[in-house]
Amino acid sequence: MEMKRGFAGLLVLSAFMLGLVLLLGSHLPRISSKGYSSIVAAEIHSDRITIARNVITKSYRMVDEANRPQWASSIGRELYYSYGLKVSMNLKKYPAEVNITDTSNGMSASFILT
Amino acid sequence: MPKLNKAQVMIIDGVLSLLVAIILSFVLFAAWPQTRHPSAELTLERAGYDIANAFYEDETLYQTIRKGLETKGYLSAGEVSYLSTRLYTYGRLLGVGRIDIDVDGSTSFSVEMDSSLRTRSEQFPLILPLKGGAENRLVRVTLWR
Repeated sequence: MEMKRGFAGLLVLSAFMLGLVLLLGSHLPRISSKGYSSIVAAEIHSDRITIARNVITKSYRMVDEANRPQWASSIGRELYYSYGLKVSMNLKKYPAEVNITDTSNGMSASFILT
Repeated sequence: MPKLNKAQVMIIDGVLSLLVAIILSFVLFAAWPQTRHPSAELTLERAGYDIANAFYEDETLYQTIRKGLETKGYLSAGEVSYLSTRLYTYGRLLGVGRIDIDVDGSTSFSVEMDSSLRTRSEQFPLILPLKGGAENRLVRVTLWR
């Protein structure tokens, strides 16, 4: 009887001890870090689209109409090179339409230029 | 129920302890609060948005670049110095460690906010319209943290 109680105590104590050691020794627990990394990665991709959108919207207002095709080509090339974003613009429409797609995860944003 | 000897009880005890420890750790890890908040990791992305705004909307910053590139085709030492001072203020406010500016076909320069070890960087392109929008100039901005 005494031995059984001793083993029961040891069982509970060792379980807590091992749990605590694993917890303290792990800076990035597997379960949390996996979810955490994917959230941050998705947020970074989303923020890049927002920055790209900001650059397109702000610079469009300052570009001369005759220079717009060249500007659109520069924007498309540079955003693909820097962020892997595919930019398609329809400058013939009024207001002009833009679609940005992230080639790595398919995230996209569409907006008009005024 | 079969009678177990002391060694068998100890082995079963060990196995059970291990299983309980794994379950306990799993529950604790899944419910444990994050020690780092994602917002801290995203400083450069947030700063990128604001720096883009600065280049397009800060009249003195944009006009300095525009004048330099339109009249000479490059940025003079005085203009770079002025831009550095201006960008230093933005960098400090946005919490970045260093800003590298690379103007296509012109000067490249860096503005250092603090001298700590750089671990992450984020580069983004800005297309700056010149001559009333008749021309473009590519400016690559790299933020370091």
